[in-house]
Amino acid sequence: MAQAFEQIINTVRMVYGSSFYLPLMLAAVFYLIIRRQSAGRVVLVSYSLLMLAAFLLPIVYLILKPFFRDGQVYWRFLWLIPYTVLIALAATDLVSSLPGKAARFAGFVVLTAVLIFGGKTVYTSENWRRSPSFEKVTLPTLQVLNAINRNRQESGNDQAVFAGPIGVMSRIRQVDPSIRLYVGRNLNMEKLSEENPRLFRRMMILDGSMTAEGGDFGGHFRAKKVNYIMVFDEAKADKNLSANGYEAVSRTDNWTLWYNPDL
Amino acid sequence: MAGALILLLMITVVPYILGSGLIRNKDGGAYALLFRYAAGWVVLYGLFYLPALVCTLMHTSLDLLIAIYLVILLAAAVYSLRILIRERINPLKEAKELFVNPNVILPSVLILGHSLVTFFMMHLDDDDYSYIGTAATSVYTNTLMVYNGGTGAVLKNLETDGMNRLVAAPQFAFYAFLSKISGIRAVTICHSILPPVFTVLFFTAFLMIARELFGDDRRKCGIFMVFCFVISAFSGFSTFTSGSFVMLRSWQGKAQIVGLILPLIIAFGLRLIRVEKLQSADVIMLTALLSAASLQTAMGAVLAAMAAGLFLLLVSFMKKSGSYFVKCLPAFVIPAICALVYLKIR
Repeated sequence: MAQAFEQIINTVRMVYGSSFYLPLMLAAVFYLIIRRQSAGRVVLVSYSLLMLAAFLLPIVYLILKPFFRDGQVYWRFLWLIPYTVLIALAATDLVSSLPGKAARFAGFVVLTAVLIFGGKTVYTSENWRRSPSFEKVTLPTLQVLNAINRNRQESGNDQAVFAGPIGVMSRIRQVDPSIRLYVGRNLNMEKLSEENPRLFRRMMILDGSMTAEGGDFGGHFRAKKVNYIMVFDEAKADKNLSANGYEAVSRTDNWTLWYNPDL
Repeated sequence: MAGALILLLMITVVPYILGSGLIRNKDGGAYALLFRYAAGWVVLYGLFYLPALVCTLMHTSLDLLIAIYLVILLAAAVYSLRILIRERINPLKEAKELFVNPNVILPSVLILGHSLVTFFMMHLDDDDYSYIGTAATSVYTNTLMVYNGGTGAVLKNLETDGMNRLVAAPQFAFYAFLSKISGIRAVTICHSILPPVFTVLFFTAFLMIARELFGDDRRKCGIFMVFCFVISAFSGFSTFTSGSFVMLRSWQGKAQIVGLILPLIIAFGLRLIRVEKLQSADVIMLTALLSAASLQTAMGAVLAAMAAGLFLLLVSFMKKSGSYFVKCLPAFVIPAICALVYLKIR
């Protein structure tokens, strides 16, 4: 039970983090309780409080754990507590209760500022970037895809089994599902270094974090019939891949696409 | 061009027609246009779930699922069109009534601004690997869950391939449906075409709550909507908040749950406490909501059922009548099916 409660508190910290939105929500609930209520607001506040109470109960956590991937995604329970609606409702009520247009406008501006400074904007360069196309995948993904399809046409070989950086592999099939992948995204890279050091090393080479020197990088992919490999130049895999029958079919500033015509 | 037109009709006109069967003139008021549209999307999803679940479990072709769904959709559209004609619903008149009030200006500008961001800018998320990959694979192979959507290999084991969740909640099949009928890639539909639509839908769900709380006071509704937008836009302190999902990855099932389904369940609960008698349209709406939730994610089905169940209990308690709960109980069969399927195959 103690462990379950610790997990619950960690979940709250993980979701609400350093923002003021959790205290704002609790303040909103308190405000709505002390104001004169309509039946609808009583239902909304009661619902929210009951859900919050249920969320905080370790016994509820233990019962619902199987539905939340053994508790890993228990944070989704917090979606049932409508912090957006509660805060917005309390704020609207507060603004509307102020006397006069000027006071209401000032109240609106102040509360909006509180919400802005109490949270963190979603409009950051981390979240939003310029898109090279309406598919909204990364430029290297599109470049590799175009190169593969160009080579498929020129070589007359429609088969495409691809290995490359995880960021490209996780996107390329969204655009062209005729391309198969060497491995899926479901690799747990943290565990992989212990569970399968060879696969881990290959993935690191594909991501450009390790060099291919001193290993049988190309031989492995040839054995697995992977006919397209995208490698960053830092991996220094040219000699290794050439020795295993791969030819460079496309190059950019920092990566090369290799193709094996015998596969 | 024809494909684009088909898609446009499917995501605009069809939901509006379907929603007209559920939202009466008096219920929507000045916002009837938007409310019908949002309700229609819920019906669109809700009608898709059971055929998609059965076809996915049986690994039928995508074409078969589409044929079955189109027949169901046609029947629902005919039913709704009769109501639309009988009630003399006029979408142009509703649009005029919606936009004539100045209180709608600021929220509209904010929502339109965000829609433009979602259309022109890119948000990358790794979860698309399985969902959109599986949708694209379904269209390419004309199969349902025969191939691993992520790698393209034949599916051997749902759990180790990480694909079991997609069977219980086959949202990917809905995007595959849209892609197949329009000829437009699922990735383009999900990343560019639908996000602006979903932005409007999510904030319409908040507006439905506002209407239940403030009635016809459009000034308060407008203020409420601005606050909802600001809170959502500044929920970026964590990737786990509902605001983050709503603003960043609207096409994913999780965002549909937090942005559309759960707020509409709240609006439903508030409506129940307000009306004197439960209407058949209310039960249909709840059924559609829970079915739509089951389509999006297996966990969403459980969450939606919990939310709806608690609202029904509260309303029953406050009105001292168990009839609300009893009459709405059949709606919970669908999320129960979803949960059972998920537990069986996980």
